[in-house]
Amino acid sequence: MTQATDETTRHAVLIDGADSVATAIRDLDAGTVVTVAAGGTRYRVALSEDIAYGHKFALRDIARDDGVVKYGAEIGKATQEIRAGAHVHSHNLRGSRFRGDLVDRKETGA
Amino acid sequence: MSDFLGYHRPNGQIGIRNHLAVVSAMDNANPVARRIAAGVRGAVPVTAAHGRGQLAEDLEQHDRTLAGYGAHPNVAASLVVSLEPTSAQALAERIAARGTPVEWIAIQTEGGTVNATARGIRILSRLAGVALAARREPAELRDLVLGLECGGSDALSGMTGNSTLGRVSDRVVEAGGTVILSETEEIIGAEHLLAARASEPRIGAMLLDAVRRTEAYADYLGLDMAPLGGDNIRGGLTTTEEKSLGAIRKAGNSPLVEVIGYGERPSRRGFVFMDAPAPGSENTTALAASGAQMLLFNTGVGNPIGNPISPTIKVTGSPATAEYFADNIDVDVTGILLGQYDLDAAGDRLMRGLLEVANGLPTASERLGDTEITISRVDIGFLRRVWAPADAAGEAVQ
Repeated sequence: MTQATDETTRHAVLIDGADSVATAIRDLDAGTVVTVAAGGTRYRVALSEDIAYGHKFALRDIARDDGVVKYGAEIGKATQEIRAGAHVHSHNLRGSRFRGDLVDRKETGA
Repeated sequence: MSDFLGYHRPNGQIGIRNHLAVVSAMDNANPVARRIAAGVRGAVPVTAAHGRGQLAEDLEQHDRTLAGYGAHPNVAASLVVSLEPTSAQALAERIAARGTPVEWIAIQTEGGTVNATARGIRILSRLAGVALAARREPAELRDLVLGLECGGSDALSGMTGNSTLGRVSDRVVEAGGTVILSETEEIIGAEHLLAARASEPRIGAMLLDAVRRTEAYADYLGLDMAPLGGDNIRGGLTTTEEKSLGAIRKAGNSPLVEVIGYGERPSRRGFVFMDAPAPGSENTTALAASGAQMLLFNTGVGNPIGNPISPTIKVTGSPATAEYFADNIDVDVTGILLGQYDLDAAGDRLMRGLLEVANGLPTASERLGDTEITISRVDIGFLRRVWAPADAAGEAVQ
């Protein structure tokens, strides 16, 4: 884990260099420019909305249906296009696992 | 070498507490068990729901869990209380088979609540002599079995508190001890990473089967089981996969050597997985029943529960939680996010706290007197909807 590189203000953490989201470690205002780095990968993004402590924001543009990556692994799919700097949460990200609602009831006869 | 001082039981177990357990075999005996426990210093009531009217695997899991408490390393001696003699004696025999001193009473035989309570206090005060004779002696990390738990997770739990638990897990396993990761729902989406750590293919396959069974339940119900708790979502967690990838960090990087069932005891030392449901009280009940002398419980937004028999160390990496939930927190690793120290140093803090608790320092939940025990049901019980009247099934009744 590499912390935000800004020496004076620690904004967010990037866990794995492959991740497409970072996690805020304090409440951040829209417009804040955040720099995060991990494993030789470095991002500098301006937040397009307020991001609360513990919440995620996109580090790069993510297309609809693309996998969202955190911990170096896919945590779900984007349900709409997400621009760099935008909040990533239930409104634009859905998990693919433990989703009994996705089972076709007729097909399985369940 | 000695890492801490523990109670060496005659059966070879090493405890970090010297409890007298009053184990209620079924819920109708719980009030008597609580009264007896209140009457003798050092006694802890073990009172769960159900036990009456349970059958087959459901009953076996209930009784196995209670026997795990009665014969727990942290227990010097046990008294079993039940409604009638058959169930009382059967549970006491299970506990005795593991080498823990135990006696039993039946409320019907004693003649009601007051007589049973008086007799129970008399027996338990005599059993207290077993506990009084026990002395703390040198013990090592390799003697410990630690249960790993997280509850009230937020999106930073994985990289702060859970990763701190992971550091300690690796150190305990390296020293020859055992750590048990559980909460099967909370490895969904990260199971491939754990299975890849299996010491043999059969163990990895067992872990994947546990996940398949759990996920098949969502399919059977036709429900989206992914919506996390409201507290998780407010904390910034979005998906099951995200929660799981953070949750498995509690188990560090050691090889997976065994997969055990609900409340079962590990037969191997090292990193073990227990297939048991994730909700905090339910899961800590199962972990403690496995003989874990201590539980490490990381919380993001705050979860208050602790186990009555296995001291539960509450850890948080969230600065806000460390402040507003301070009464429930034992080890604060908020310095990770505040930039004061790294994960290795956080691991050192937790290891110090762990050894203090092993040596007898009461945890927050011990000081507050938590006694909650929730045993998971198998196949739900009599309310399971295996049949419904035609109108309830959606077919109009004329």
